[in-house]
Amino acid sequence: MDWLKQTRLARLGALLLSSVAPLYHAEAQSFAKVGAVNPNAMGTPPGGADRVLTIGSSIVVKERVRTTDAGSTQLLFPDQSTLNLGANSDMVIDEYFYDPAAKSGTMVASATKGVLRYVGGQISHTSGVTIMTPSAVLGIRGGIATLVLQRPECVAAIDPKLNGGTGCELVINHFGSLTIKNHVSQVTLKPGEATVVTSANQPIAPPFKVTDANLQQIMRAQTSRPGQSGGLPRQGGFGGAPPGNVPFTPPPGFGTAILPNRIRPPGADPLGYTSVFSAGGSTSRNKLQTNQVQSVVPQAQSAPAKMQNAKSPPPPPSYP
Amino acid sequence: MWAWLLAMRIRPHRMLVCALSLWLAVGVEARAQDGAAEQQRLYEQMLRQPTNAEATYAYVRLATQHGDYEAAIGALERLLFYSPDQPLVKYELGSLYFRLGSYALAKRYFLDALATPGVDASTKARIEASLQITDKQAEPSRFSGFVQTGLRYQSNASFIPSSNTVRLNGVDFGLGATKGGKSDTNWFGLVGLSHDYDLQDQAGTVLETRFIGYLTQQFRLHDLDVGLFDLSFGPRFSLPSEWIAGATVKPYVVGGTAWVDGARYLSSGGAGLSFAIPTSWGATLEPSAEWRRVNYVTGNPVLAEFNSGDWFTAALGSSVPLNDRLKLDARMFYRRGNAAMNFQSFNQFAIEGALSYEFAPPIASIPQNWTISSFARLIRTSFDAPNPFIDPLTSGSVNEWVAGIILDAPITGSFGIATTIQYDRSYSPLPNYRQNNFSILAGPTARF
Repeated sequence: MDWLKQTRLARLGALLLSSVAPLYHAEAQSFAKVGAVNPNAMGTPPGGADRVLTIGSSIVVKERVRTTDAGSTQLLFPDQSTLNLGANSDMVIDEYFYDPAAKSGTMVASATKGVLRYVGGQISHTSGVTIMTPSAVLGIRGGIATLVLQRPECVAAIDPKLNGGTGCELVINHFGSLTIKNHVSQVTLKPGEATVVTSANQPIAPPFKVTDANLQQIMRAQTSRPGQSGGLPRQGGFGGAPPGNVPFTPPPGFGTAILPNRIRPPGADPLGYTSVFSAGGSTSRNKLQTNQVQSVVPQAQSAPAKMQNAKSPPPPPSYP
Repeated sequence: MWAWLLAMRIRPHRMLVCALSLWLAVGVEARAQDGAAEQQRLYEQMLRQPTNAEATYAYVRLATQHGDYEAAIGALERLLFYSPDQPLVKYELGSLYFRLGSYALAKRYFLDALATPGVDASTKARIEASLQITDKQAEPSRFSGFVQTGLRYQSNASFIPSSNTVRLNGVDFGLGATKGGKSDTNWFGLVGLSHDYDLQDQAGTVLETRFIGYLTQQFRLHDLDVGLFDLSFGPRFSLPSEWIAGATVKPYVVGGTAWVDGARYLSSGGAGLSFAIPTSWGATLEPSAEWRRVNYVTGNPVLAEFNSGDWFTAALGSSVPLNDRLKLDARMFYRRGNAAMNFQSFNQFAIEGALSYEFAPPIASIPQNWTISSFARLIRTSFDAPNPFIDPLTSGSVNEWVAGIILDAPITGSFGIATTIQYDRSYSPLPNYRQNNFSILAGPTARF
């Protein structure tokens, strides 16, 4: 299993590096913070007892993080990446180090169940992030990805493509490059594509698009439900409002962004636009310069001159 | 200093352009570093105080400005944990995912924002317009177009040399009472069309068709009426991710033709290979190579034979988002033209760039940002040998500078007005090619 060897080597390398560099987990065991949490979310540090996570809780290396039926949480990492854990999730950050000066590091996590969304930061932009599941190893570069492990039936029922067994894993790539490997196959997902991994010893399904209805179900499982407030006190959150309706006022201009115009037919971008006018101008100039010279041919009384063609520079090439 | 410039044969205006470019590059880099440090400071504050809304919004604003959309997404999704019924936060998340090209999630957030209680009318209109754009991006068959018509004034529409002379057989002749060139105005029409058909196969194949058409009708100098079109078609494939993640390649065929004064003037056909390679700093590099057979069709078959030949072009282009409002488009190319006669064969090198700034329109009801672009281009063409009919002792080379400003002002989602001011100047050892021309054009635009 070459891919397994590579993973072990990467982890060994990460371990060696972490012992010499001024890195987050070498200096302090805590490396991530809980940014939001809906009860219940529990943390179990290695060798320690279960504890209830609250906003601002520190997560230590190899701490196991679990959420209950109604629980969900968001973890913030020093490299400005975030990880949302939905209901009934269970995961461990096995390795994490980040060198702010080099803006690079390593992150390896193991997830066994639940709904997770990873939104990338500096580590995923440089060396990539590895997430291990019971059936596969995910390499995230970029990138934003959603994992649904031990997928609940309610998700499978919406999309016929997901009828591969209740225990299988759904992986969605939203942005960047995502490679999934198991013992027998490897699939790379482009943005917008998803796949299903049934087990470590069965080929990974070809990529497909997730339906909007399915995405809606998954997103609901990754954030607060009605009546939840992400761990803010019931009174005294932003302005002491009741949960679910916290009146924080966005700054002026927020939420008024206009989408960039992605319609870019030829001539719609500044260089393509000006090159069309240049091409038209060069074409007529070419002929005009011939005419100018021929207009003085009677003065020159030169027979060969009648044969000349004053060629001016050709136009810029088009934009295929 | 000036002696040194003279010795180095560097013209002062070139030095000015180089200095401006350097100043711009250094300034942009310095601002980017300052912004990154401030973003990191705000993030550390958020780590200490995750519920600090003020710090969170400041962080989101800064990250968005720097094109770090993932960072902004993580922060805003945390705000939704605290308060799920926030249509503006959901709309902003949708627009961030859209910018990343994650159209399915963008659409989902827009739909969620619409379904959130308390959405005001103007926000609802903005969300619906964004949904329409997002839906179009997610379709497998995407047809889009850009059309402009309008008027163009040129101070030297007749391309009269600055010296009002042309050289023939090594002797300069005056062109009579046309010094300074003849100005003229024309009507023009420009059409750019593109169609992408996503086969949705494992190779990620997209069939791309591109068309550009341009037509002018002069008010006085009708022998300058021009028409041209260019059409290309080819499949774009994804390269294996273990080579370069996200890179694509497109082999294509291309052809076109041009008319002057109602008669066909040249036609061309060929093929090329174009790559698109995403980079870690958000830009996409687009190297390409193209071959075209160019046939001049003139009344005199001998002249046509002189000019006709093969053109080989190698180009490198890129579009670099400097922040969420500022974008740099740049391109350089080298072209080799082989003609039957060596004095018509040429080497051509060009470098061009456009710096575009997108800003909010002056009227809030306009649903699209306005863009102002400054652009510049230098094209240097050297012919292989002196043209014996013009000047047997002077080699024909031309340096052409172009600079200008474009204001693109959408009025509705589809219609707007674009205005361009441009100045062209050509330098050459031969008086025939020394010219200058000032032009201004304006007219309505349509995008679909």
